[in-house]
Amino acid sequence: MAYYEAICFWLSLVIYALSAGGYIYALVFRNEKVVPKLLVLIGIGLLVHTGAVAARYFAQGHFPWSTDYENGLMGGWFIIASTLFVAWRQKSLRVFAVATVPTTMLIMGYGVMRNPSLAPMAATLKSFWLAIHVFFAWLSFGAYALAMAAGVIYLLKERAAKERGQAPAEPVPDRFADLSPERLDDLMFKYLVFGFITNAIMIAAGSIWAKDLWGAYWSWDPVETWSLISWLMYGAAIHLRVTMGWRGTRFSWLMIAALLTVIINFFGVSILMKSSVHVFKMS
Amino acid sequence: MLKSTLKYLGSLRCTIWLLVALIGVLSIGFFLPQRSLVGKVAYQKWQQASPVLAQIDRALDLTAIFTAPVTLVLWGFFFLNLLLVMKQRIPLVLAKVNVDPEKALERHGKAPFSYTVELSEAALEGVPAALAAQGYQVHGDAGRFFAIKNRRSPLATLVFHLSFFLLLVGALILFYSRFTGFVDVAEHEPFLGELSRYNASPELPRSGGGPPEVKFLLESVRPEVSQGVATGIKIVLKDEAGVQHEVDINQPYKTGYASVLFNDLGISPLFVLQDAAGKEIDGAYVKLDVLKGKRDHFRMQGYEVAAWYYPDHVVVDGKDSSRSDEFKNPAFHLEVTREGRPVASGTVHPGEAVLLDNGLRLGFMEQNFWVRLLVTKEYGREFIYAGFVLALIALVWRLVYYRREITGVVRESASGKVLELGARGDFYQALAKDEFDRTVAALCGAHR
Ligand code: HEM
Repeated sequence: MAYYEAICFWLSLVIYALSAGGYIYALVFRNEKVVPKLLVLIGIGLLVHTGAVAARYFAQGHFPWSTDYENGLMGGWFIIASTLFVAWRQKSLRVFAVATVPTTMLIMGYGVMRNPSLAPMAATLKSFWLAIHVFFAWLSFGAYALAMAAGVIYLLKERAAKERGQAPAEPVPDRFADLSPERLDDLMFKYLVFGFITNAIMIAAGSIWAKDLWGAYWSWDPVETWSLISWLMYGAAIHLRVTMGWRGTRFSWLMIAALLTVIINFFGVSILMKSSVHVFKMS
Repeated sequence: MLKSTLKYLGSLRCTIWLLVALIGVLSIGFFLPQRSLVGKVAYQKWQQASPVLAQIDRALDLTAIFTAPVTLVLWGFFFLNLLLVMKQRIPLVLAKVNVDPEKALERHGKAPFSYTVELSEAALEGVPAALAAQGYQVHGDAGRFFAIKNRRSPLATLVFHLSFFLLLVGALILFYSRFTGFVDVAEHEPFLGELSRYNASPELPRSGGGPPEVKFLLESVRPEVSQGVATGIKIVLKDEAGVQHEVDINQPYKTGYASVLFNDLGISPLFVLQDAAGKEIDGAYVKLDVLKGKRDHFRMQGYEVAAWYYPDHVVVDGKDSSRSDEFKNPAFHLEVTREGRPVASGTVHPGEAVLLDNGLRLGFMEQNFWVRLLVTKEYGREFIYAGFVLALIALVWRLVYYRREITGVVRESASGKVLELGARGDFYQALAKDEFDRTVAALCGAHR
């Protein structure tokens, strides 16, 4: 890690940790008034996070898009950026950070435990199609993370509603009142659709890249296979919703489970790196 | 029995199970070592270490899961199911696209979202035009109309799913027409596409035919390594017409349906054997596989020469070694024997020589490179690209430009004329309602 990168990286992680703590407080003590303030904190975190990306860019001379650490760094950036983007467009979606901030911390934490050292860009990664591939991978990752967040909020809301049903007569304010379950349900699908389309572009661009790098569009290497698996998984989710009427609780759990396949895919890229650097058997 | 099986195979429930089964089977490829990826030696080791799993593997071919019978059968069912479902869907989709406005108006009262708005006579007259301005196709007149946006969007379901068949056809053509072969070519060496020049056993097209007609002269090779990472390799080829082509990682030389890709790099030094008077007895560019500390050997005039290579040579504690993987100061350590008897040894840089017996000298004159090129040829890419493009267009068409319908009927009420609107959209509920609320608000706002 470059000097300023390390400072910014750890600082952003601390800021995210503080805001995650704030969210836990908001949830446990049912004080949702602090949520807007936490969003400002996350905004500051993203600025510092951007600083880490910039410092790494200048230290290496290329975008961070190859190792586990870089995937965590950039994937996390996209998740937080999309969280802030939707919160900016619609205030009621601020609560999505409850799920996306801890997810970001996990993937950044995992990444930094792996290989944060600086490296020049491997020849295998200098490709227009790879740039398209990676960019759309991040976009779809961000969107799938939002779908997961909408699912988490849906479940929390549902639980609160159940508790309310059993509670004594005194009125309990509705959880995340300005987000109706129907809206959350739609939002899950909307983000899923955005993620699914960008994921499809990512797979197509990746296979065109593979043709130029390995001489074949598809070689069933682990990363290709896994990206197909997670795309099929989201395809199955769309089917379950459109043709089998899955909604609400079941669909929320599906969005949470499906994100796991994407996270595995994301970090699987390191395996791709190993085998693609292997092509140039010198390093 | 057959009828019910066919019925199940044409159902969407079967689609879900097939997708789940495919996900499951493909996941095996991630958790179990695959023969094509780990190589034969590692595979045999695994077989010895896990005899029970190996036995299961022999029965089910799980370590070649992507071409295993179970996977192929699943893909077969997948496409069969797709075909059957799409066949059922075509008339439904066409009926949906060619929707009859009258029939749509019959469902007016059953729309999920309904609105009643009071507008002036003039404003009522302007509603169809206002909806048209928002991208709706309006049928009927201001008193009774059916407005629809993205009418043809359901067609995209067919386009998207049928694009899988394009990918399938493309994949089959690729599979049957594919040639792959590795060829080692040194700098300044020509390659005329002869089958005999390919290493070991090139994979010939399954549909018959020979290697592609790829002819070139390898002009130069310049590898670039920085901090131990391969950052590029510049290979220049000259084709028959004398045109130069640059090959790099990610940048093959493409001619027609054939591609020439860089695969591996080796050292091809010029070694010359001279007598005591300096006369050249023999000399050759030898292709050596010596990178990463590997030892290789060659023969010249009865001498057996073992060679070690140091791209960035230094001597540390009296021992040869390399400071980095960069080709900054190349040197060879040579050990020469004749009929098993050691003759000489030494470390030489370009221009230097090892003194042998009988006053002979083995000189390292020049360092060149050789490259292992992967030559491929396959047809069918048009289908693959068309499949990708159609699938993406169809996804956006169906899921982003989804269909919205509004029916409108003017009724008399105590206070005058009111417009009753019924609205429905594909896929969404709350978000569709927001959109219709805005549309209706705009209709009212524009005519107040
Ligand atoms: C045997 C295979 C398949 C069959 C028979 C099938 C069938 C269908 C049908 C009939 C619909 C329309 C549902 C409706 O509008 O009421 C649909 C929707 C959809 N399917 Fe599939 N499907 C298959 C495989 C896949 C796969 C592999 C994917 C992607 C991973 C996929 C993605 C979608 C998407 C995104 C939609 C929603 C958009 C639309 O209606 O077109 N499908 N599928």
